[in-house]
Amino acid sequence: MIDSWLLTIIWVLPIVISLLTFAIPNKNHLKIKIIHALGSGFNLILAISLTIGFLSKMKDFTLDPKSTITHLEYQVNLSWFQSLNINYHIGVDALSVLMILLTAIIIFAGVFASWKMENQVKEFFVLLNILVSGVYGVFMSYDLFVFFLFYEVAVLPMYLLIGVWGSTNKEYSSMKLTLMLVGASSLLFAGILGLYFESGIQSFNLLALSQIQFNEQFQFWAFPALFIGFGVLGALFPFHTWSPDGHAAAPTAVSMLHAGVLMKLGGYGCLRVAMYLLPEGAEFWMPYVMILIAFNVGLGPLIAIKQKDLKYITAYSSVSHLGLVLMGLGSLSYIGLKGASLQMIAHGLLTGLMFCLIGMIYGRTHTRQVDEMGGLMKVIPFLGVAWIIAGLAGLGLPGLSGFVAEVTIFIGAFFNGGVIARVTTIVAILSVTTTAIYVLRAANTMLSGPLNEKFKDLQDADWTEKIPVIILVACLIGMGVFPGWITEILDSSIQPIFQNLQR
Amino acid sequence: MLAEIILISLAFLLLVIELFFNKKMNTYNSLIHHTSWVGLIIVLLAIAYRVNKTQLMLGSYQLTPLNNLILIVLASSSLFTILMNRRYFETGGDNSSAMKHHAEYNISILLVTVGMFNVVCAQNLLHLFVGLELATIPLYFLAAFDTQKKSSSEAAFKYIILGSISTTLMLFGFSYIYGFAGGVQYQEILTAVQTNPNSPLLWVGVLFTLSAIGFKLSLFPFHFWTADVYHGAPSPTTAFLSVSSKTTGIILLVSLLSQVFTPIYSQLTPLIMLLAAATMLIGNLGALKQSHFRRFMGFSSIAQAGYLIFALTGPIESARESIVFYLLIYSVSNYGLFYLFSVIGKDRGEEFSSLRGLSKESPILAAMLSLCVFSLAGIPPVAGFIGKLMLFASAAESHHYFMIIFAAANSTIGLYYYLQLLKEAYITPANEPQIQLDFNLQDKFVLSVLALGILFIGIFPHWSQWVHQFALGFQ
Repeated sequence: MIDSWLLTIIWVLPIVISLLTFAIPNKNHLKIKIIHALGSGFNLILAISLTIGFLSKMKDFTLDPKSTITHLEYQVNLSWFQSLNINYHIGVDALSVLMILLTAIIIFAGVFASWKMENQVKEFFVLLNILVSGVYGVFMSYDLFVFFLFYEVAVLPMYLLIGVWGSTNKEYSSMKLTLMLVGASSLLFAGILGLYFESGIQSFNLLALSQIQFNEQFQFWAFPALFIGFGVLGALFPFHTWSPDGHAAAPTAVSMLHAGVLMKLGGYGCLRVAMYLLPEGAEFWMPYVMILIAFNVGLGPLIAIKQKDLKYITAYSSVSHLGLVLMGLGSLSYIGLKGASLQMIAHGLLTGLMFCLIGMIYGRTHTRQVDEMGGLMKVIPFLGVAWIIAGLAGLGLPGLSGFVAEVTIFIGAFFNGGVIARVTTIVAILSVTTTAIYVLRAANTMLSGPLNEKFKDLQDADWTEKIPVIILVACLIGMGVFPGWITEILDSSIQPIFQNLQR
Repeated sequence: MLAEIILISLAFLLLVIELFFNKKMNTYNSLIHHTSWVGLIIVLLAIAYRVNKTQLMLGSYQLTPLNNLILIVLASSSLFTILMNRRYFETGGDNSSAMKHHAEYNISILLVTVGMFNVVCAQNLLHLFVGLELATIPLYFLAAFDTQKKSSSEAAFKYIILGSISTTLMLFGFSYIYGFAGGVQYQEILTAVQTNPNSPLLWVGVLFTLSAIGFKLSLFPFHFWTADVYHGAPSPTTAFLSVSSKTTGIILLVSLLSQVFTPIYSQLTPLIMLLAAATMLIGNLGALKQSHFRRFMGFSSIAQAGYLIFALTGPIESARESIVFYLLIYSVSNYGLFYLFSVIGKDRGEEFSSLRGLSKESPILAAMLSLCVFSLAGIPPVAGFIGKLMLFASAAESHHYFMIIFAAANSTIGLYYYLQLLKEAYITPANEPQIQLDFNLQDKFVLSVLALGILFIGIFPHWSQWVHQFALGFQ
């Protein structure tokens, strides 16, 4: 009984919490923040219990190696708009569960990272919660229309969140982000309607559509439409330009959520919709996509090296790491797909931590320019160590989450065998060096060296700031040292998609 | 027939009240106002209780469940206009003093509604034409109602000249169709079209009729009057034009295409696609630089008309269904925005800059603004998204996918200018402290009803299911 409600509660809860805070006048900031902390904490508990429940259910389930239908637990399938055969079809498979867990962790950390927010607090958390609801909804929908609906809901609040509470150049960045993402979804719109009408069964059901073989002509235009539509969100070169400005301008929690989770929606959509449903199109177009991805992984770090603003450095590092996700997807190999999923989780944690720390450092030094900071390790050791851990995870140090994912992707992409894939892999492996350059240089300039006089009296992290940092660091290390359970359950998720690709 | 009779009687009742009651009475305006809206509620109920398909007036007036739904949209549109115009007549809105002749205004609105009812339900060309005239001529002087502003008279002048020309074109087209078919009943013409779809007489008639409808709907290249008329007319008239006039125009087009010109419908698709694409583009590009609310709504309504027409590139049944559903949503969202601006603009003027500081001053009004804006822009989870989806799905059914990308891209351009409203309300700081808002109980009630409509038409499927069933049961 609880089973069928669990998923719905997970995405409805953030909205309910926001509505609860309506009664509280905007002046009682502390009360509002406590309610939101409790609410997101409860959501985290629900997500953890969902993961545990899923794991125990999967123990009894043996995977049929030839199956092409994704295995779902906690399914709910209710009729919604009959005239267009739209159903409220939600469920989770392994990848969905892990992404939901990731989202819950990041938003929990995000609430604490926004503890110092003072301006129009109620509206901020309401919009943040709408964003989170949308993200949860995407990860659990298996009806294309519901998927698209939640996808758009996740873009909706961005304009106001960045425009009102943001910093550097917020009006320009927020408009650019919103218009590019909504513009990309116009491609998705056409693609999804195309899938509905060309399938012959007039259904939005993802599982049913995966069994249909669409004709070549349709796949020829539909795959790029869907892949680019999702790819814009997933920072595919050259559509990534909204990302650096957007992340730099956004407030901390919004950057954490956006870079950490929302951009994974792009990769998730590519995998779940574009590649799963249109495998022939994927096979045809992937070599060309790999060329774009080579730019992603090659150029991203090079641009990051040039940056002086911490947020821009992190934003470009996101672009290159997401390029790795797309590379794993583009490899069309089992290991590559798995690596992409791992990287989605690993990078989410990593970038969540980085933006969290940037927010905290900025709150103290009031500057994001790396050159202006120096020797901070002497005054804020806690944040400094956390930053180094985050940076090392970013460059793929073994023992932290980044390594597991990156290695898998490199092996998978090389495995593919095509010339372009292999060249892209080599570019990516070489980019590890360039990644190291900007990561280590930023950390070095900021943390070591002579301490600037005006930063002498900085306070180290207080308890509200320690909580998110500790949680995220623990997850980073945990995933780096114990990735086994994740890779095992991902099998059930990747298998059907890979089988479809074999077709 | 009861609803129509009540409507006409109401108009005459107002006339009687106006004759016999002293205008200097304190409660004169309230009396007119309350009589009007209570009467319209009764009309709405009377329409809602009609269930069976009937043919009246010797077969020239047809009531079907779908028609009834459209009549409800039209009647509620008049209701919202009347609720909205109270402020303009009692205390003065849009930073000017009170307008005069409240009763005449309401009477005209009611009679226009009667005309629109007849346009929707007509089953022969003459009845259609009479209804259309009744529906448009009062609008000419409703546009001139604000006697304090020259722009109002200018708008009315443009409207009357261009409107009369379009009526002439329509009559010309009708005469060709009559010459081709030998009769004015829809049934007669349909049989004639079926037997002889390639007749030049027919096509001349169709093209002239389409041009006239294009004027009513502000399609490109007949849209030039829209911005000026919407700008010059007083706000209640603009609101009424943007919803009722569009509804009448599109339903006129849909009923002609589905009941009379059905055999040549697919041949008209390239023309409709071109018109839709051009209209969307012009509307969206034109709205980009606007800062005066009514002018902005003029361009926005041109773009919305483009999306509505776009549905007609698909099969007629799904087009009809999605258009009616979208009209429900469009009317609620549009009125939400107009009503909001009537509240805000009362002492500040109806410009975008009057919105500054709204998010801090009245978060509820700012939230209502966001709701309407997102609905018009077509962003989930509000109703506008589902409506747009259904419109585009109708086009997708005929596999016009590249056009859907174009239309959705236009929607994105649209998002830019709708977001400007939000930008003014939430982001741009107010330079000097704004004048207090006059926000009374009626405003709260009407805005809540509209907000609930926007939220729930999209989430709860009942509305779309009713539309679907009515559309299926149409013939």
